[in-house]
Amino acid sequence: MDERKRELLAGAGIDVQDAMERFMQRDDLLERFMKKFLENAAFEDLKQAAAEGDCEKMLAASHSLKGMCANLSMTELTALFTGQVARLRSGDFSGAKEMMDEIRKAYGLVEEAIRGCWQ
Amino acid sequence: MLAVKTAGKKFCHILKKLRFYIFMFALLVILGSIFHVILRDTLLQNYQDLGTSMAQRYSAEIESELSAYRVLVSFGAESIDARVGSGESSEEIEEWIVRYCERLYQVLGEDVVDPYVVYEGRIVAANPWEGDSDYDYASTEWYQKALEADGQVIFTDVYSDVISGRQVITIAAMCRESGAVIAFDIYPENLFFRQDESILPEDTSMYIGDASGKLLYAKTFLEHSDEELGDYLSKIREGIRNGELGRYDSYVVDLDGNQRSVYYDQMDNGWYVVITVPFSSILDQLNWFSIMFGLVMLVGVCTLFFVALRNLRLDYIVERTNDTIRVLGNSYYALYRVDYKADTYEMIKGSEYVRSRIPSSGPYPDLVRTAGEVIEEKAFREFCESFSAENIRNLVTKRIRNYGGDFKRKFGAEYRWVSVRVLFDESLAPNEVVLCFREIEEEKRQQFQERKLLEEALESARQSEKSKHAFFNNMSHDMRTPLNAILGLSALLRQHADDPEKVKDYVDKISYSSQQLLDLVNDILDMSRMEQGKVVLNNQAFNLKECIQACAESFRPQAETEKKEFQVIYDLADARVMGDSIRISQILNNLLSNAFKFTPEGGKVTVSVRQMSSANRTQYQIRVQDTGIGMSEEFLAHVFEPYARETRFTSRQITGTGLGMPIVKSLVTQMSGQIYVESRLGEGTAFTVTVPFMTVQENAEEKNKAEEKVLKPEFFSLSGKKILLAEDNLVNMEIATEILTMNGLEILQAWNGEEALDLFRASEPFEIDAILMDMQMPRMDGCEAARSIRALPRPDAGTVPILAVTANAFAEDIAATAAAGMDAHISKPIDFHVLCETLERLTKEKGR
Repeated sequence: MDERKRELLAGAGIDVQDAMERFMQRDDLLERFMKKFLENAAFEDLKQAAAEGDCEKMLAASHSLKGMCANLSMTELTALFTGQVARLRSGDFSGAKEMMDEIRKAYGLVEEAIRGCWQ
Repeated sequence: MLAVKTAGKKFCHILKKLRFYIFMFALLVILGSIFHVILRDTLLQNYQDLGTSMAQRYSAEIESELSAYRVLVSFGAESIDARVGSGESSEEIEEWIVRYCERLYQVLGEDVVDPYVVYEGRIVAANPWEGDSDYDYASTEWYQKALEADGQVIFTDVYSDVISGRQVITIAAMCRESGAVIAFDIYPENLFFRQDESILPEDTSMYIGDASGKLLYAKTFLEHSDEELGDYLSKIREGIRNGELGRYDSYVVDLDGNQRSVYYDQMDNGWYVVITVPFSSILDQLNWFSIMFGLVMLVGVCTLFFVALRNLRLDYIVERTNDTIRVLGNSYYALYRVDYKADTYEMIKGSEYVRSRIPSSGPYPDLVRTAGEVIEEKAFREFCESFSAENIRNLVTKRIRNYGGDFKRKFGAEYRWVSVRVLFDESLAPNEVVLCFREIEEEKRQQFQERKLLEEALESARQSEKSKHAFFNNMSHDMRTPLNAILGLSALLRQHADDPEKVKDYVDKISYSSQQLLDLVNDILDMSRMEQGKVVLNNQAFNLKECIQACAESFRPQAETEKKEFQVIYDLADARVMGDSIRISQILNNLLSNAFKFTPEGGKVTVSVRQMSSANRTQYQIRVQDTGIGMSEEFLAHVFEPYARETRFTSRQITGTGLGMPIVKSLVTQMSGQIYVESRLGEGTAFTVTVPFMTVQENAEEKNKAEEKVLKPEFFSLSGKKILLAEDNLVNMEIATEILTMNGLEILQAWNGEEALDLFRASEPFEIDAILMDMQMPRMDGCEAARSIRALPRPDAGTVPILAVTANAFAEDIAATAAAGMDAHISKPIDFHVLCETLERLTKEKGR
């Protein structure tokens, strides 16, 4: 993996080393899963649920994203989703919704970084 | 003794009934007798009158005859005196005498009278006798008497004539002037010939005797000598003289020994006429009459007897009928006849209450009111309306013969059910019905009981229907699981058609799921067949110990992972028996899986197999005992009923078809065995199966084989293990799959909890070595899936390690995973090293 990619990904809050360890230093796997991440619909679900005020759907989507991000060592996003899940579970819907802007920004960064690397 | 008494009683009874007839009979006999006596007396009296008058007539006739002779004698004497007075000569006088005598001959007949005169010492007669001159007339009775009588006519008694020797009577008179004596010798037989005797019976005897008692004349059928007759007559005379024969009913016994009535008359000259008539002749007609009367009486008596007999029989029949009716009537505590037109009642049998309040007959409304007093209030008004005279009339008009109803009536303090009927029949008097009351408490109670039973049966049928319904729902679900697995695996197979190893794996799994589905269907078919009694046992020689051992050993891993004590005890003298080993395994499998299912961790399951005796055909007892949750008494009663599970255990997480116990019961029954269950909530359950088996002599070879067969422990190794991974997120799933696959593990992917459960269920026992479960999944979350897997009825359900894969650090989540039966939790993203360590630890802990 070249440095440019590493920097790009790190800039989007991704612990590349941790991820590479998980994928046993296989770039192709990282690439595959990162691309898969872009394809997943969970973030769209989350946004829709937040807009609709569907707390349950929001929790499911946020939880799913949290697991996915953790798997891909997206540290910042993982922290954000963990916070949002915690708020949703404690019933703090408005708090969770307030986080949406920040999450959208971080998520956008991650998307941009992945695209910058492999597209 | 009793029989005699009864017979005596019966006789008295019959006598009592016959007394009228006996009285009538006696009366007839007495009347007949009295009539007979009166008739006899009358007859005898009449005969006495008749006989006496006859005797008088005879004597009168004789007297008149004699008086004619007397006149003729007197005339002769007067004429002689007149001639002597006129001075006629002796010759002239003698000549006249001869002429007179001749004239008498001519008039009276020669043989009737023999007149002669003693004139001047000589006997002058028409027919001079030989030796007249020698005849010493002076010494004769008649001469003496004539002299003594001095002109009066005398009669002699009968005497024998000296010359002729014939019986004669002499009538004589002395001529006062001349001293001559004129005498007629009369032959008595001539005196009596002219008698007309036709009015007296034929065998009437007549006797005429002179004053000295000498028999003058006898006309009789008695054939005896004159002397005997004379004596007989003397006896009669004696009787007459002392008055013995004066009565009409007196009699004399004749020489032939017959009784005879005696009638008589005495003449002035001392003669008497005796007429005797045999009683038999007098009473001849009476006897006829008596015989006729007797016959009539006999006929009467016969008729009476017949009538009495018939009446007795009728009485007997009536009595039998009455007895029967009385017995029938006894089932009614009250019977009344009601005349609805006159509005009156007649009490045939009254209840105690009614009897004590109203007379045995009276106005009907009184009865209704009194009877109504003890009827329960709510029925009273209806009772009054239904049994009013008006309504009864309506019933009869409509020809309703049997009408009535049931109500509660007060007997003392308690209410009991009674039935009242209005019975109408043409044989009753017009306008009359019978009103009867019967106690039906017992019947009513039974009726209620039966109704309750029916309702319960209906309810249980409904319940059964419901159970069946639930069962089918459940079955459909249970069938869908392996089917889903098959469909899923088929899809996978299609995807990986080019990978021979995967193909083999999928095909294995598909065939396993199919097998499972087949088992389930077989179970259902088994049950259905058993319900129809169509299961056939395949009896072959097998080793019972081996069979049970094999079956029990398959549960040992489960016992170990679930930390349950599991013990099998054998007490068998003959292990080799004839039987269906597959069915025995089926029974034991069912019992054991239940025992394990319901026994919590730390509990104990014991199987004991015992031979009851060592005979050729002997009883074997298999007992499966656990210290589990037990069953409630209510459920115990239903434990062998099909589909019992769903209705009783809906709230529990227990899997299974609910057919296990019914199948066991059916199999045991078919093996001529018995199954008992003892259970207590919270203490445990024990099933005892007793089955008779024919023992088979075991040969040495088989024995050795059995000993060789020892169960070897399996060893656990992490690489190559099959992991069931439940993860709903595509990315997460791929990552985990990839990582684990790279580490030599085989992954079964499940996209939600339900799929995980289905895949596990579809797997062979012990095929899956561990389950990694994401917590939050659609359809069924991780906790629920884990709980369901643990509850599956298979040996590895309790033992397979289940790891929660979660990024959640929340304590309550960890507690929830433990409560759901999960063994550990690892964080997400999955760290392979942590996973390996955890699995190794768990395997060690569980002894695998």
